[in-house]
Amino acid sequence: MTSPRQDNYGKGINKATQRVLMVFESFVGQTTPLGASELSRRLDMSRNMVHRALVTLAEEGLLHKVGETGRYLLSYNLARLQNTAVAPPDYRTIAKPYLEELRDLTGETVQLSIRSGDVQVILDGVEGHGAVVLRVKLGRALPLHVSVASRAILASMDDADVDAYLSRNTPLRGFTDKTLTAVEAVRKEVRAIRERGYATSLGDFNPSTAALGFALQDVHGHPHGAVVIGGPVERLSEDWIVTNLSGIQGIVSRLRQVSALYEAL
Amino acid sequence: MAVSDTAITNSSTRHVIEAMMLIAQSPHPLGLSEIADAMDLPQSTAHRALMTLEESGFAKREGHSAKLVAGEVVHHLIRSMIGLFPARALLAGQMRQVSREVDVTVSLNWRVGWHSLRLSSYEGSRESYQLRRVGEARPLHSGIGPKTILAALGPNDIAAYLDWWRQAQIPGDIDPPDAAELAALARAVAQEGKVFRDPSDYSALVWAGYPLRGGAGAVSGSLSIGMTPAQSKDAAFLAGLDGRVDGISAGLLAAGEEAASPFDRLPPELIQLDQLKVLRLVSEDV
Repeated sequence: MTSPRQDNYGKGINKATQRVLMVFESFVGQTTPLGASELSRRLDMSRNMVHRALVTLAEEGLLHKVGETGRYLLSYNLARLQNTAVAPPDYRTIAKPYLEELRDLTGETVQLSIRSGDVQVILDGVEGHGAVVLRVKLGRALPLHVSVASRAILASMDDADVDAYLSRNTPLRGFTDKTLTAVEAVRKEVRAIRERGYATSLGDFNPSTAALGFALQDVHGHPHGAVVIGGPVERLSEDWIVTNLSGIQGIVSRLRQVSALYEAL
Repeated sequence: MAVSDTAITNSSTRHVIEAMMLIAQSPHPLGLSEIADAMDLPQSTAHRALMTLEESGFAKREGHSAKLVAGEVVHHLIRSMIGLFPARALLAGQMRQVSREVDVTVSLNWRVGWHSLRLSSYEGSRESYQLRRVGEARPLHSGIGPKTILAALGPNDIAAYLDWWRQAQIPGDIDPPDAAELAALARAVAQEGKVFRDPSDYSALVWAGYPLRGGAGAVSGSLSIGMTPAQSKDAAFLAGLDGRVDGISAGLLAAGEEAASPFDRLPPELIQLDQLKVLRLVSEDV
């Protein structure tokens, strides 16, 4: 797994060492042992190179060799890197590189939302490039049945949680004539999002924008928030989705992996 | 092609890993000259190592300064290592519930050799809290959670631990173990199933430690529970708390091998966490 990096260096960086760090980073979110063959495919690096990196990292006490299998786990020794004086990164810091990567891939605005009780709140965002892009509205809160981010989060909640939300908030507030205000319609949409794996716009809040929303979970598998890629409805057509979806999903799956390492706020 | 069994032993890689550890363990952001001095390297060499770390996300600039702190990847890796201990996820729901409903702080400590690793911590309703970082390791006689593990291991393991401590020569400011205190704690655990500690300089809370046993009945960890002095004098509260901890213990026992970490069966003397430089940075005692 790699993250986007600032590209203001180049000279002076030791490429062999950088590959060792890439191999190390591959163990983020990894709970089963990894071997050289699998990693060399994943990183597109020679098996020999990966193998030597694994041996180096194990010698430094950062990886733990599992028996004589030639496969490795992160070592308990990583406790050596823990520091009681330093706070763990907050959710915006964790997500930011992936928001930027999604923006760079699509050119559109990307927003990060979290669930707060019965609403979704926009916590962070990066605006797209171009004259007409979606504005990031930090701090805006919307009920969990309205907007793409909301519905992505709603669909990631368990059924009892969804039912409790609906009973607390009936009658459901409408924002446009497209807003889902019938409980059965919301339930149907939740099922469709779970089936599809992401939420799409219905024109239920702002009919001039279109967006794709992906739920993020925390370390306990509870809803943590959602990431949304959005722009003018004319640009984010069905064709746009077909073109961009697999690239977006690749980045989102890495964001999901790091989101699932931390507790929800 | 034959696969080479040699590590990448070039000095660049060693320097980069050493610099990563220095930055991660430092209580404050580190500048180039501090790092070069600490590693006894020319600044140009240290500079290259730092650029490699920064470029790879293992270090980053602190705000607008040129000083470096650990990058997100380091935090992600520590969290991922904690994910190798299934007990954290198995007990998370119950621990969170106890923390919220009884309003106490609950930490899960897991034995790793002669050390204890904090796997999780729930703070109850307290908005300000003592730093109880997930992923922190301590020797088994340091803090109530680790001490509870050592006390529950019994006299033979306590004796082996004291031998290990004498030889390990851990750097830092941790007081040496007190054999008489450990013997008294072992008796308390044997009789009452828990140990108590009064509020210290660091914490206004009273702490109780409860040992946890895994599949074969072996001591695998402990819960440390922080309560207010008033709660600690309330017999009905304590009885209720004991009952809730019994529920958590039973859950862990029932999980058996499922709760074991990949490191549980390693002989303690093979686990070299005693070289922890980070220990000199530890100031709290919980």
